[in-house]
Amino acid sequence: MPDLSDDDLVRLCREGSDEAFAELVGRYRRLVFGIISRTVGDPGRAEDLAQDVFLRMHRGLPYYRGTARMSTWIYRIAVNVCLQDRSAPKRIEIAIDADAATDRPLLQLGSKDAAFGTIELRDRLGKALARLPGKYRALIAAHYLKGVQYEELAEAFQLPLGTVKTHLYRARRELRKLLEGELA
Amino acid sequence: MVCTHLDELIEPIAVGDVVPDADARAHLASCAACAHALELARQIDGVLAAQPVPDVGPAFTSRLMVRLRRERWRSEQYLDVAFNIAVALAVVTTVGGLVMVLAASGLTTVSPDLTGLFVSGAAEVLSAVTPALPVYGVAAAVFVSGMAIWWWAERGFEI
Repeated sequence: MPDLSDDDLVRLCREGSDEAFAELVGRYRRLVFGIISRTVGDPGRAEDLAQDVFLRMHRGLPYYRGTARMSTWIYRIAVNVCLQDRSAPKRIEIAIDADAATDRPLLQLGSKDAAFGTIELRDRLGKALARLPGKYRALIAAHYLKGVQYEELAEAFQLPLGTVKTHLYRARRELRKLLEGELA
Repeated sequence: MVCTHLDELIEPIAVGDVVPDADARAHLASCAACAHALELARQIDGVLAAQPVPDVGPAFTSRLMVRLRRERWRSEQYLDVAFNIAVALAVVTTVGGLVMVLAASGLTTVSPDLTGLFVSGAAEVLSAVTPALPVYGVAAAVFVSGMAIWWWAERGFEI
């Protein structure tokens, strides 16, 4: 199964193979859970919604024509599930990849201690993210997943490329304004 | 350049989509608030980009497959119920149609004694069956228990 392409797996799924579907889930579960957990905040809720995404995907497999990439199609389902979820998160947990964080300059907010400043920024950013509209949260979550291109976001959100960029700028500006408001 | 103009460009500059021109660079060098805003925007981008992709774990797939099988079983149940209702409707409609045809053709009025014939026949059958009624009761109970066990087993193991 790991050697098969997505299209082959889709064909096997249509023939009723649960094994093929499990393989597809294995390939895309991080992507789906990544977007959802960063949009809804609560990991338990995120898992339920991630399951909803894959169940919708399973129902939609007979109609999947392969014109878009599989990942784009799944993005679109995940985004729709996120946007339909009405629960309001209190904060979004922001973890830091230790390897990626080392070469980045640290911001000092109220604290003089650089490491503490980063923790403080993460904490405030998590709360600020939770206050963004759901569409912006989903867009930020999808954009900052590794390897996701603007073009894929545009297809997934069914928006023109320029609009995606504008929405992302606005979302980040809103985050900055929220943080500046807290710091003032 | 004034702060409100530069504010529009802070995020594109911070993520590297726009290179600040000489005016913007001069403003950033002279305005502490805009320079701080740009630094904050860069930090926000840096922190968001440094997040590892969370993983829900391999057990997620098995939990999902259990849910998928449960949903499939439920949809089959709905299909069964819909089929049974359709069959019942078909039987009722057929019987109703037959009754209407008989009534329209006047066959039901040919012999008023026909009903009496059926009633007396049924009474005769009942009188013949009555002595063995406990046996039939026990047989029916065994049959119903068997059906209940089968239903329970299918429900329990199909989930």
